[in-house]
Amino acid sequence: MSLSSDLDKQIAQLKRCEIIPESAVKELCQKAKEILMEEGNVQYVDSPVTICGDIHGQFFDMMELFKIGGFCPETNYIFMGDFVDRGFHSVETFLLLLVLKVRYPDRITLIRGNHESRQITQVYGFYDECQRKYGSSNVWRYCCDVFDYLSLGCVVDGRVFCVHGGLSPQVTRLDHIRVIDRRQEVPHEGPMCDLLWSDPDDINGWGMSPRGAGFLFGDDVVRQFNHENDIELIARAHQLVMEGYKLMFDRKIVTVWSAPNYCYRCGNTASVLELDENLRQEYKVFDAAPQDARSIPQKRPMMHEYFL
Amino acid sequence: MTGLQHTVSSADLSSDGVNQEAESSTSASRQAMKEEQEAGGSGDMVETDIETEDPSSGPSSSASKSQDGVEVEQGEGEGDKDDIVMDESKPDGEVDEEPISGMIEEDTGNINGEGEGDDLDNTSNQDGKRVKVYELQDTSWHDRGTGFCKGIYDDTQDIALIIVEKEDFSSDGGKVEASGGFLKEELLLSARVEKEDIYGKQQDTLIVWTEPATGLDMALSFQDPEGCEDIWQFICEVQRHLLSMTSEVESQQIPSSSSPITNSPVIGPGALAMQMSDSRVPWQIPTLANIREQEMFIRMQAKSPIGRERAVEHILNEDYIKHLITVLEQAEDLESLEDLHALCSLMQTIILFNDNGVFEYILQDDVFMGVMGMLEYDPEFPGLKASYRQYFQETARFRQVVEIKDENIRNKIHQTYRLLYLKDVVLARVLDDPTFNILNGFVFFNQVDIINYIQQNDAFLNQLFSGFHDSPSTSSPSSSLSKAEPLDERKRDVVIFLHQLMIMGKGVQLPGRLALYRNLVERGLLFVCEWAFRRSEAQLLHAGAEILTLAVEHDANVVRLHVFKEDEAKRRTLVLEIIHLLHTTKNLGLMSQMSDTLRTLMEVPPENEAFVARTKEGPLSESFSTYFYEHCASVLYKPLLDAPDIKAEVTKNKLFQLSREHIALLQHLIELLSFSIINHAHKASYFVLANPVSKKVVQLLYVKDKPLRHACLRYIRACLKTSNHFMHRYYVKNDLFLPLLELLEEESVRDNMMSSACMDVLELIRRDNLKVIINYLFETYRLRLDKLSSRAFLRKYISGLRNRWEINNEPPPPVQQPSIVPDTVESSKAQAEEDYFNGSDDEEAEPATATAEVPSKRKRMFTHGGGPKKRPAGARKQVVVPGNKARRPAPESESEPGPERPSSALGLDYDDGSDSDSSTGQKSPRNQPISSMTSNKEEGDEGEGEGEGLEDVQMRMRAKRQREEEEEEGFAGLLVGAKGTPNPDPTKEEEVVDEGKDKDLTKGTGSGTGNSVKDMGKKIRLNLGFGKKLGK
Repeated sequence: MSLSSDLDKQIAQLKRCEIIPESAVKELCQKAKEILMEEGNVQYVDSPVTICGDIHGQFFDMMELFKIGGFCPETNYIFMGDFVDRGFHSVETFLLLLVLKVRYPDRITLIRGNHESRQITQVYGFYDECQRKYGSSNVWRYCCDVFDYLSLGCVVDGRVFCVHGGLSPQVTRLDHIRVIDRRQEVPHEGPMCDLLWSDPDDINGWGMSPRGAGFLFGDDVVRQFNHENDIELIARAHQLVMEGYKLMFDRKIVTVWSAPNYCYRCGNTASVLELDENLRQEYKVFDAAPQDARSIPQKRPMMHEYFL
Repeated sequence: MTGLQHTVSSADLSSDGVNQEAESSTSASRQAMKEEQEAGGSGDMVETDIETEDPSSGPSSSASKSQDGVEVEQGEGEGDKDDIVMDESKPDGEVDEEPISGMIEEDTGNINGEGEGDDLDNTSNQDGKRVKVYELQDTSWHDRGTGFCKGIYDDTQDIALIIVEKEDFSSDGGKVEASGGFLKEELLLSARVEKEDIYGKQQDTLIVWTEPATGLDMALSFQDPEGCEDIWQFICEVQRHLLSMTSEVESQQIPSSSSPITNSPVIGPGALAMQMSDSRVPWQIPTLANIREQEMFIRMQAKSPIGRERAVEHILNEDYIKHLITVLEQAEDLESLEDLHALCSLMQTIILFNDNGVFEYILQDDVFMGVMGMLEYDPEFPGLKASYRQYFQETARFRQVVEIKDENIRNKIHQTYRLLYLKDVVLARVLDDPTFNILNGFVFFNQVDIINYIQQNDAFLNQLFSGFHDSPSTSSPSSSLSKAEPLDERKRDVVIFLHQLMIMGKGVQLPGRLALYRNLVERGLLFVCEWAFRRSEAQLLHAGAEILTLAVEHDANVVRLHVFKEDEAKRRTLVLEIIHLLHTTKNLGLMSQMSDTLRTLMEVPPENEAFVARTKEGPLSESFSTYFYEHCASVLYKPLLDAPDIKAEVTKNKLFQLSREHIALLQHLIELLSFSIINHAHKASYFVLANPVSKKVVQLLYVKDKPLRHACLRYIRACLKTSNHFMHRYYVKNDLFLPLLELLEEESVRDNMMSSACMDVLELIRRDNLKVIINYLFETYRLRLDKLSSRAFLRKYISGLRNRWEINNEPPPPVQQPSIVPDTVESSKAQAEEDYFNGSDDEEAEPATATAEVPSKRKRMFTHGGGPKKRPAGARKQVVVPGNKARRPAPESESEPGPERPSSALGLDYDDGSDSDSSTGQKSPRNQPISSMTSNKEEGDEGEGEGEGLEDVQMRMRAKRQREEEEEEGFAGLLVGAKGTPNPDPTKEEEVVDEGKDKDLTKGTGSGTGNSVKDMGKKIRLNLGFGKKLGK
């Protein structure tokens, strides 16, 4: 059982972008599951809090994020999913967030993104990265297990609804989310899927999503939802926005994107949304970490012995 | 005036930087889209993260800005056009040379100085071309002015200049500069012609370059194309000359001093100057002396396609890289870090030329190490040196378990290994998309060749698998089979070899991959796994597990067949090996992998999936499950049956705790069993009823470990969800609900995962109207339930249940025709349908108060008859009323059939109707058929009204997904996750049902009121076809 000093040690190690041993990951995931189990499908959070969008394994850029936003626990955080895949450091990124969660459960809220899924991570890199860095799929399995426990959304002071993707036609009231038994792989349809996959769009009502999962939803849907649930703002991530954030629909919904220079080549800036005690919004924009801040990617090469 | 019309396409002008950036970001997004579509192809979700709709941001915006800037300034220059032909086609004379490039020189100073030379009388023409001079300031092009351009050459100094005289002064004629005294102010531009290939010609009238000295981007915009061409020719000529000269110079210098900069070349006799060499670029043989210039030079080359082409040609023809390796050795000897950094950048640049030929060259045995060596000194990490060579020399080892006789293939193997190393390790950070793709291309083709070679090589394969086929002493199926035996190195190597081969197979296209895997399985791949599973070495266990996972996920049937064969041969089967490993391993990851594998093997594909027909998986999976329940289930679930009675244990010993591994194992087993109950209801239910497994599981609700408790809860739900009344009665008879109730009491105060899952179970009982259970609960635990119902989260659900109970037990009204719902049910099915549609409009029109969560508002309503359930085979569709509107006057059509209800195809229809409906002993009304029929009908009608929008959308999406699945040969379908597709997660369906229930209710009661439901869609905007899946 790791005490908080052990956790602090792991935090320090992961902050240097060094992985922790598999056995530690196993323990960590176990603890994380216990904590996450106690959270509702929609977790209620108090302001002030800083809301972050997709990270996608861009570890050093996440450290930039902490630089401008303050480190946890000094600042309270909500991370709206998509911690893994695409970047070079999905493992370190997710584990750091997870160990912070375990160390400061009330200071950081992690919600599930569409990439927190067995299927998706096998295609977009997290699986391979785990294989490469740990030599087996075990760590990937432990992490995927944890993914199933992540909340689906959270609400700040009852006024700001945070979710990875967007709304679902089957969820007109936040209450509807509560009855989902969320411990499962992200389904292909249904409310849980929609929450993680949908996007706002300039349409009326609901539209077909080009992503093949979730929906597009329009101004009217957002207005209706916010009205019905007494929500002021929906904060979501899931889509790259070049400026780091993008308010839509009369400022009723915002996309927050926290992976600068996405995929190391998109040239976008990133942002976090700070909500103060009065829920005033401040968007802090930041850029990718300078090259020299990065270490050489820890790519442990393939097998030492090769037969093929 | 075409001359100045060159709409300086800003993107072109504004230096490669901007342009490339824009391009790369779009290509990145394109790439991302592509990837995602690929992934989505198989019915996976397509992810398109990248918002492409916003062109106003990012690189493109700056580009468009600069474009504006230029265009504004364009007009003026037109008008007088002196068409002067400059005749410098022969640079007889005025070429000059800046001895060695890369030096910071003062342009104008030079000119002034050199201008004194008298040779400038060679000026080839007097007037020059009319031209506008631009320089790039920030992002916009600044107009320096209009003037006349000419190229001049100083023979003695070997310096060539491009100068532009201000228009106003042009009248002074060509002599001005000859004197060397021309005033600086008169010149708009005076630039030395560099031998580096830094010049670009665009759109006939534009020459652009970056001044190496100042880094300034310059552009000359000519009035007419001829003028432009002339100056262009001049530049080319000069460069050719310079090149030939410098290469002379360099070659004389070769054993160079270690001084990196030789600024003052010994210029050979002037005669040499004009000699044209073959090479058209100023290449030099790289030496320690010039390496940094070469680095810069090559980087310049990389800027233009022509430059790259020429560079590649030269590099290959002249063994340029081998020279670099020599330089590397020297630089390492001297420990000259700067040179090493230059070498590294140079090599990176060459690699990023992205040329097949270059890669082939690099991958050669005698070159590769040198290249690795250069790449070790990344200037971006000046403090670090990588140790790639060391890795190759000391760590990486090529091994052959069976000799590969074909040398060509052996080479490809080495090459592939190197390529992967380059891609994944050395260049991981610097790779751009095209280079990444070309490396992947190489790898791909090599792997195809290697795989083909192996697959077609009978002798090889026979030798490979020899020794694995013999049964491991069937008599002792115990754990200590071969663990005690010393490790057979050859067998170990075979496992690793096969593991690598399987992984390599992942890279080739599906048909090839399937063929390979099948071939290997048929030859005995799984015997190898079995052998590995009996070992204790983690490496072997993981490799074996990975091989098995890949095999199972690609073609479960081949694996099943293998098991049958083993069984026939009275050999201990793979399944038993898996179970054994599952039971004994302490490695939780491996344990979960084994459990996943078993689950995949036990999967029953849904009947109407297209691919099932193709592979005949249906029957095979059927006989597999028969085998499984006959021979394996009792072994697999033994730990469950042996599970301790937690409550009793805890009373004995307060500190009682199960080990982590034990808990994990129990959890996996319970999840497997829940999965089976849902997927092969009949056989699994039989097993569950014949063994006291449910009792054990229910008792495990008392463990401390919450994930395990959650799994138990899921198990209970799975059991309840079967329409198997024996199961329900079993639960009642054995009072298995007490632990559940106690869990509720404990957990439902908080809003957490467990309480959500509890609500879900309650909701299931209510929704499926499990009468036996409802009655039992209220008869036995009424007080406790009442107490629970005061809890905020549970209120709705418990009162919903109570409502059910009351309704179920209410004596039927004397007259069987409640006013609102006329008797329709006994009429024909079609009639009922119609009635329903006629009927429900009324309700829909009512303002909604009852939501899914407020069942208590519903009143009892009888609808009659219905008879035995006639669940249509077709897709059921249920409509969601999300936010809900419809107050239902008479919503309680009881017993909506659990949509999950398995058809009685298995031959056992547990739904004898006796329980759910007539527990009161009376023939209570049923309207299952109604709801099924109506929901069926609804499918047709849903296309109307506003709501259809969404409905349509969903249909189309599903259709699209299916299409993709079929077309793209189920790429992701082969991945683990796709397992979910054929066997939709039970929980998901529950949600679906959950949402659908209101509608069901609505439908049920609606039958008979004579109104049309056509516009139901309008009122219920969000009616989705959630039932579809259920109907499959």
